[in-house]
Amino acid sequence: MCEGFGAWRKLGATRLIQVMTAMTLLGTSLSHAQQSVGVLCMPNNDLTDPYINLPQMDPVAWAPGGTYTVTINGTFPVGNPDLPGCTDVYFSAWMWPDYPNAGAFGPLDPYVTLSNFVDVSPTVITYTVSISPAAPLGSYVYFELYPANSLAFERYYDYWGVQIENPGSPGPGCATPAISSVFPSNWTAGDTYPVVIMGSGFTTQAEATSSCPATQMTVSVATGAVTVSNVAVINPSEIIATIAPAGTDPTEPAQINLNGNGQTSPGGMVARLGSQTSANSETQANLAVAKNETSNPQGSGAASYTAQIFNLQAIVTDTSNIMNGIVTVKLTAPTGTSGDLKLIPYGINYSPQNDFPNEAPVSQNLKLNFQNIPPDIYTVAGGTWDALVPTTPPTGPQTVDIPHYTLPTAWTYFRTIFYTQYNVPHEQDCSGSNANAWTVDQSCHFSEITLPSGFIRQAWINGHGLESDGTLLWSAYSAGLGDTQGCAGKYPSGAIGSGQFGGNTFEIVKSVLGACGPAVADRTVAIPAERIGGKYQAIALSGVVVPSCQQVLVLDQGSHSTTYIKTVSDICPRCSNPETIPKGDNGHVDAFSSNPSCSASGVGSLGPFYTSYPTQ
Amino acid sequence: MTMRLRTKCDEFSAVTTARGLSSICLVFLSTLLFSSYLLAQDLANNAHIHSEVTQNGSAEMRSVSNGMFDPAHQPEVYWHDSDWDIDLINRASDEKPYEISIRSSSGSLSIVKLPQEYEQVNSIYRAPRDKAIIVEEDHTSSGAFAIVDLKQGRLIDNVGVAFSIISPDRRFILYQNWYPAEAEYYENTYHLYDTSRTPRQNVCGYRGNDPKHEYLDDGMRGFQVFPQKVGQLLCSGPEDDDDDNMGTNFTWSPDSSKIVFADVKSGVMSLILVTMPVGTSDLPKTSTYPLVGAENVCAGATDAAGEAICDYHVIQSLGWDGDTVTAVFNHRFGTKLNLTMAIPVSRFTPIGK
Repeated sequence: MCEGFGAWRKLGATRLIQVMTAMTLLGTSLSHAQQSVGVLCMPNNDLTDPYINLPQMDPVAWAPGGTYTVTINGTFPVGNPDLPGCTDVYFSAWMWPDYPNAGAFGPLDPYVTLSNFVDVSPTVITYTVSISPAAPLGSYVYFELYPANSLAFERYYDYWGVQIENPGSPGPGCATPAISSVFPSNWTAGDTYPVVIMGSGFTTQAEATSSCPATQMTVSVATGAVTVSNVAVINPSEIIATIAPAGTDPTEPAQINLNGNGQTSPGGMVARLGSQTSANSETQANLAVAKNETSNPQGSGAASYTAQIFNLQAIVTDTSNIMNGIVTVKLTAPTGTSGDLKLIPYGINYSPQNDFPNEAPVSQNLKLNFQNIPPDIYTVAGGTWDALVPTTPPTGPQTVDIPHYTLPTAWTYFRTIFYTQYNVPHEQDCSGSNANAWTVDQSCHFSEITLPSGFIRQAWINGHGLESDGTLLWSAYSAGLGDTQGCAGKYPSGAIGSGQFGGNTFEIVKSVLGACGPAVADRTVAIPAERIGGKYQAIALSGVVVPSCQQVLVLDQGSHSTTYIKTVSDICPRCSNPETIPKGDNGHVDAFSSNPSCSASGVGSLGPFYTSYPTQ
Repeated sequence: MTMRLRTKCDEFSAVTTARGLSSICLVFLSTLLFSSYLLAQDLANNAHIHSEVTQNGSAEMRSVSNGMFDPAHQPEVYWHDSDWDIDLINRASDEKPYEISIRSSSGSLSIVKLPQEYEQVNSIYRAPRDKAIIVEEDHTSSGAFAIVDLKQGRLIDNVGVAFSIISPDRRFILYQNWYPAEAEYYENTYHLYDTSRTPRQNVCGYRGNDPKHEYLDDGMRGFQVFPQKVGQLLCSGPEDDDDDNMGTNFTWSPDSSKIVFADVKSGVMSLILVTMPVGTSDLPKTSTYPLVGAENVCAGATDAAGEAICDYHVIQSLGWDGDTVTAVFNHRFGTKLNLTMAIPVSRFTPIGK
């Protein structure tokens, strides 16, 4: 026998440290009563499996003022080959309710004295327990046995819960709880649920006695964590509680445990709480409770019910192609899950909902409905997924929030812009007999020339025309040299510099210049502009934002892929008036075309395109 | 389509000489077959342009409905009433001009050639005094209207415009002047063309090199109603240094006696009211109602980027309730104003007062 040692204080340290501390205290006399004892050599045996022939302790109904010889039957496995021979054992009684956090000790029970530890045989141990007369009825002892050898401890320890009561008058048996239903019983990790437990034999707080306390509830899981709060026993058949599985919980079962602590036999209750083979944690202790109650239902008024935790996730993973209306979403759920998904881009003013029915748990590119998204600057994406998990019995869909995802590049979206085209007609593509025309310079000097009538007409309407010899003409009105403009009153007879029809006067220029750079055929565009305060300025396209010079526009005809990429190089005053924007479109942009045609019909329009700034 | 072809040829055969019958019927046949071909082709080519049939009083008209410029897919366009059937004859190639056929209830028929510049015919209206208005587009926000004398079967006027709005009684055409798309020196002005007047009575100026006023310059037509100075009869000269005139939401009163629209200058929106002339010698009158002070609908308006802006996005609609203008304003961004106003015509201030 080893010498005993004094009471520990709550250390809040690991069991290993405590054991090591205990070892240093060996040598303290066991001659007086202790709440804990160190024992030299358990009954020697060769067992290594802690779950074979589990020790049982009797009696465990201890009355105040009583002294009992208690027998532990069973085999404490100490036969590990690494630890031949007998094993030092530590034996203690702790105050309830510090259990079940077995990793942090509470105070030793001041009403319990242990002594006379005797190895009777390899399977029987006896000891003496004395209970103080002052011990309150209904209090509990957490009674523990484990090796005082750290390595052995790492493999096994054993513990019981014992209630201080009057064994002479055990009182009526407590009701035995039973669970008939739990609603809801399918929980999404990260959500919080008000849960209703229906059944029988529940003990309310008002009906609780020292021997039949109010029904207690815990929830245990294998690897995750579940917070239980606001437990209220409404009546013998109904309990409500708040359940909050941690967001990190995986998909796994969850055990709802009720402990009515009801006394099932007059001889006293035995609540063998469990055994462990490794360092403990709170979750593991909870698990031990659950497993024990499930596996030992005769014990005493315990009941359990298996609920299910689902780790359902819906997250936005990529928005780099949102300029093409594509958002990548990853859905995580058990196989067979399906549900309606609502994806919402959040803009400065608008948050349009995009519906995607029956989405399965995969990573996928969702295609937004371009037309339902108002012009705006969108910076965040989020939404919900109503996941219907295949369960037995079937349950309704569970709403999974799609966490807000901040777009790495904001999505500036103009919705439908109608793209007309302008071109420089080539003389050789024009017909008509020769007619008189004029050139004019910045000093209003005129020279008469001859050109095909069709070329004169189209160059005037378009603003530019390219003669067969490479001379580039710019209509006098466009150049500010019209007969109502800079050269008013100086036009020779026959020269016309205003109106749509009949204009025949041009300035010779070197290139088609945009307001902010050269026009590049089939690549650049002119955007809406107005004269404000005497200066020509681009205006907000679709009312969203003013594109700057060289701004790139991405054009998508609705196929969720880029049809054209255009660059801003010019302004288009004509494009700014809403009266000329086709119905249903949000803006008008003029694209520069390399087509040499001598008619608008030959050039045509590009048409309407969903237009955005690039997002990648 | 086949039924229509047969009817036209049958009716026509009763009022034409045998000599011209076959050739004109051939015109109809080829025209209508070609039209049918175009419609089929539009579907095949996923054309952007659409046309629709509407009732205008007792008349039926088919016109381009969505304001889209897609001349390669010219749809069928016509005006049919109890007196006249006016139909666009599609052209075989874009090197040939469009024509319209004019058929009277008495059976007379004439074919009128439209100007070569006409690229897409959007609509045909019958105007009072047996005239027709042909609305054309040769580029988005660039077009023209033609006036046709139905009885004479003759094109009598052709005016280039940026866009036009025709009064419900089809007597008046309010339009924005034309200028080239790439023009860097221009000013938007709004003119009123009165179809009850002769073309020469719808003039607001002549070219400087036309002292004898021999030519009608389509850039100096109609009566300039905005901007308008006191007593101004001629078109405006070169641009000024103010904000440009950018009329929006043009809304005719149901009786065609007035039109109201909006314009913004120096960050203030105004409603512009033009009262139509009654007699052919009367002149239109322009009045304004600036939305200032507590009615400043531009205050707080921004684009999505937060920049102050006040343009057509601020005004949702204009309407008429008797002699009261109803207006709805809204900010998509910024202060998100949402305002409905009712402004009696009597509160508009005539130009010069």
